[in-house]
Amino acid sequence: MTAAWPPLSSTVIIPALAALIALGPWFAKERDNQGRLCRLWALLGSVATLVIVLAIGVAGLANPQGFLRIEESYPWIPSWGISFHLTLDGLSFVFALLTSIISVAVIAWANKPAAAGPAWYALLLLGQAAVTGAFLATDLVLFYVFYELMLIPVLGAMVLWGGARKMQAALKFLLYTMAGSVFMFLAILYLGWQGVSAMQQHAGSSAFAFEITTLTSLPKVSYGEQILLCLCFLVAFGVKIPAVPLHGWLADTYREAPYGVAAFTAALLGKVGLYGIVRFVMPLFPDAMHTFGPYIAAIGAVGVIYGGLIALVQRDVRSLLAYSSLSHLGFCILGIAAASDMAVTGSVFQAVSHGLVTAALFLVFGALTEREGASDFESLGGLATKLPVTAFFLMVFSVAAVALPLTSSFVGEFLILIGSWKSYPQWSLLAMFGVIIGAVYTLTAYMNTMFGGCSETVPLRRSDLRGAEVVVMGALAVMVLALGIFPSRVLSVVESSVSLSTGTEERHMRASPKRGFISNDEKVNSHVHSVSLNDGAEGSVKDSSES
Amino acid sequence: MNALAPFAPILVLSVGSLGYLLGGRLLDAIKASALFAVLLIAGAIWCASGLGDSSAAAPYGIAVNAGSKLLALVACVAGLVSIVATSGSLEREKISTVSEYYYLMVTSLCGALIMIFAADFLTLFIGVEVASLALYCLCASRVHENRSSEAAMKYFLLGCFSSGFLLYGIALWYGATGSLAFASANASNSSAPIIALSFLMVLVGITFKIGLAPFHFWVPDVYQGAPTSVTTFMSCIVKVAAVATLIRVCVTTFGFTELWAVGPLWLISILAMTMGNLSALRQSSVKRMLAYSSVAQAGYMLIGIVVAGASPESLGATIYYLISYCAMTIGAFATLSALGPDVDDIRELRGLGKRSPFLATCMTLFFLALAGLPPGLAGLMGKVYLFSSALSAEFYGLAIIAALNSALACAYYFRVPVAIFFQEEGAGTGEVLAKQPSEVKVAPEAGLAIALCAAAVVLFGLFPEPLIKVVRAAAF
Repeated sequence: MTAAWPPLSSTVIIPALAALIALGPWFAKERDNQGRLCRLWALLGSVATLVIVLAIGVAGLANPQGFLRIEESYPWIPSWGISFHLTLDGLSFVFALLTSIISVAVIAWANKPAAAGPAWYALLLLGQAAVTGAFLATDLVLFYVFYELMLIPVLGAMVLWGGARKMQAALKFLLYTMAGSVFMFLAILYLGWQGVSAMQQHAGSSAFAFEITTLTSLPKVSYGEQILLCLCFLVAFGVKIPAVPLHGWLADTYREAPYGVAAFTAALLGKVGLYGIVRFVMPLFPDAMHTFGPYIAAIGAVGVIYGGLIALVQRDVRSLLAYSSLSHLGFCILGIAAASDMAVTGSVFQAVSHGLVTAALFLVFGALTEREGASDFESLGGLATKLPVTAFFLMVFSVAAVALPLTSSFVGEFLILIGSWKSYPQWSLLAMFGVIIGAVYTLTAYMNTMFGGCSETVPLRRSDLRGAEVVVMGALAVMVLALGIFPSRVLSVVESSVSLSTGTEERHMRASPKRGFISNDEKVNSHVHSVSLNDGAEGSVKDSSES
Repeated sequence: MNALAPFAPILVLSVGSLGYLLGGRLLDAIKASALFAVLLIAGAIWCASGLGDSSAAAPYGIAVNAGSKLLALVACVAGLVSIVATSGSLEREKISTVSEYYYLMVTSLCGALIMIFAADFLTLFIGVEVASLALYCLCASRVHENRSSEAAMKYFLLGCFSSGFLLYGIALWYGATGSLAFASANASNSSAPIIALSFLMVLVGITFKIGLAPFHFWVPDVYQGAPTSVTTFMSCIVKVAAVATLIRVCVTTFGFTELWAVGPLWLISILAMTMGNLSALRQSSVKRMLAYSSVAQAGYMLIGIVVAGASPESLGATIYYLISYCAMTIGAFATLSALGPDVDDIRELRGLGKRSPFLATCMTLFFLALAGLPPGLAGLMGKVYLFSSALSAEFYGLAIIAALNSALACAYYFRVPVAIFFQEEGAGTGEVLAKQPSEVKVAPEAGLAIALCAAAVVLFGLFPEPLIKVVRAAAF
């Protein structure tokens, strides 16, 4: 689809431009009274982006053959076969929507670092642009550029408004992510070069190839290469998500970053890792993913338990949220490892749900601790009677975090556990205990802050959520509940593109030039939702009906 | 007249340099830099034009072809930008001998052009000496500063030493082949030990000049001791000339497929990036940090030459990175120079974000580009180019070590933006900050030059296509 107004690029360019303009006042000498104006401006930019994403979504859903796939491609560096290629299908749509929602929520949230001026909003908008770009880019080099660009706002905000040990935390975060991504960078270049030599055999083109659909349509690299390249990608994404042995930066970053940025990081940055695995790794290295499957599943399940157990003993709100994220994202990793349509769809759903819930929890706790002046449980307590609105929203999101039925997390975790049961019953079983642990630490945290004795030492500066905060929280709560009660529409949107990536059938169909969608046993068993596959160009709806 | 055409830029510069000597005290700083600009613009126009292309015969020890003209153009533009950016700082650095200063700059640039255009070893040696002798004196141009004299002395002694190596290598080459020309090289006896020995000698000589590990120990002292304006100038001019020489010597002359040629170069590349980055980690002086970083960056540039035997296209990657490097480094040093003659400690940059948002933003951009991170995309694209050419030539080890190095380098490149924006003034800096002005005044021409570098860094990264086309067309 081509349009006069490029909708996809504008979702990247509008926040980026808005960020630049928001920075303008920073150059001016007079710096008072600009915070309000900047906030309005930033809000305008991010809401405009949200509206565009929503409009794309409405147009996409209106398509009778399933979610409409939109592509935009502009030549960027033709000599190397790099293009500014953005693609929006069901998978990237839900993540792009999540990004816009979280960005609007964080920007609208009144509670921000005291000294934050225009720079705060500029960094958040830049973050929104980068993350949206990463979710839409289907050219690997372009993806890498956005992937690295995401770091800048998070690091900047952390170092500007972070806690006492911010430098240490920032350096740790930087080194972890750079060390991870540098190998992915090499792997991308290697793949691009492989694409070249394969294309030279086909068409005599001398350009590198970095476009994901081109790369997947080429003959796969050999098994040994797949293992190595896949490992490079997985380490990079594993650091971002984070997966268990690579999570060293997590607690420090969440503890030292200002709450808004912690919400942004927790809700979105890790999701880029998950998205990257589904979008790039699974279709590019099907054989290697098959080999790694059991290990990834183990990492996921161990992460669920490990994160949960550590969360049990945390005394600080932010550490608790960090380790609970580790635990909840373990589910997503498990689902991806299972590689069945149902499990991967569940993972994506759980990722979106976790994004909403974690962002909300970070924001509420941020408001709470800022007003209370402390973030450890011993100083908080007995707040339910004083702060009824805060208590209400905290309840909603705590319950959602515990994955009670009717909340979005329930749907995600349920799909993951069921979907992974067939392939990895032992890990699925282990992860189920994680749900129980999650209930214990989440509800304990709630109890400690809202009920129980109130510490006398804390000065009484408390005030409840108000105005914009209630609106933001209300919207997030409605979304969490709506996703929990009516998940099927979103699930079918996600599933339509996920089944392109899970591609267990591709191993059997490699010889065939045309992509087919033959359901293997796994898919027949797990497939419950009406799937309307739409690959745009190839009209694969027909293929799936043949099977 | 046609016979003179290939020499035009060298002639223009050397005759122009006489103007400074004759002009003497009549020239003040502004006129002197204006003359410099005119000379360089003339040189640049010649480089961009089709004049004097004589790729076939290489008549007078000079080879004019697309590749050497491109590098000469880069040298002229880089020299011009660095001189414009730092012309205002002469007074602050207490350099009173303005005409001599510019005379030496023009002379060293002239030497660099001779190196770039050289078609035989004798011309090369003359170029190296002309460029180096002028730079030795330039390093000492802050006559009241002990460190400046020390830097010049150190540079001079080590430079002479390396010239010895170079000359001995040339002698061996002459003994083995009976000719001084580069082109006579692809000889049948290219595996003879004497050829290998001569190559190694020449390589050591050039490596010394460019400041690649393990012969880089003079670099930090000289970069720090020399006036910042001179450091700006020589950090890029020397690199451009030496890269041109390396390409000529390694690829054209020695054929460059033998293990004795690729092996040492591979090793030097790895050593340079690793030692450069590791040493830079611990520096508290920005100039020393940039000096070690330039060692590491030169190591990256070498990748394209190392793999050139397997894929000749990779020379384009080296030149691309060289051009990006010039923009980033001139920008970084020029910003430092704009801050004042003695700003060196990283703590002195604290709070720059408030004192001068313009300089702070540009400096951040340059350091992010050196680290290879967006939005300073020129560095990233240069690495894409270099690493992918290494991978496509199947030098996996080299690519992996280079990639690890570029991740490691982020750790120190980030310290400068962090200091600029994120650290409070006065925290543990004591008397260092007492002499910092509350607001930094940037001379308009310096501001323009820095903005130009910043624009180059962003544009080369966002739209690399035209530059890629240019460097691909550059054949040696």
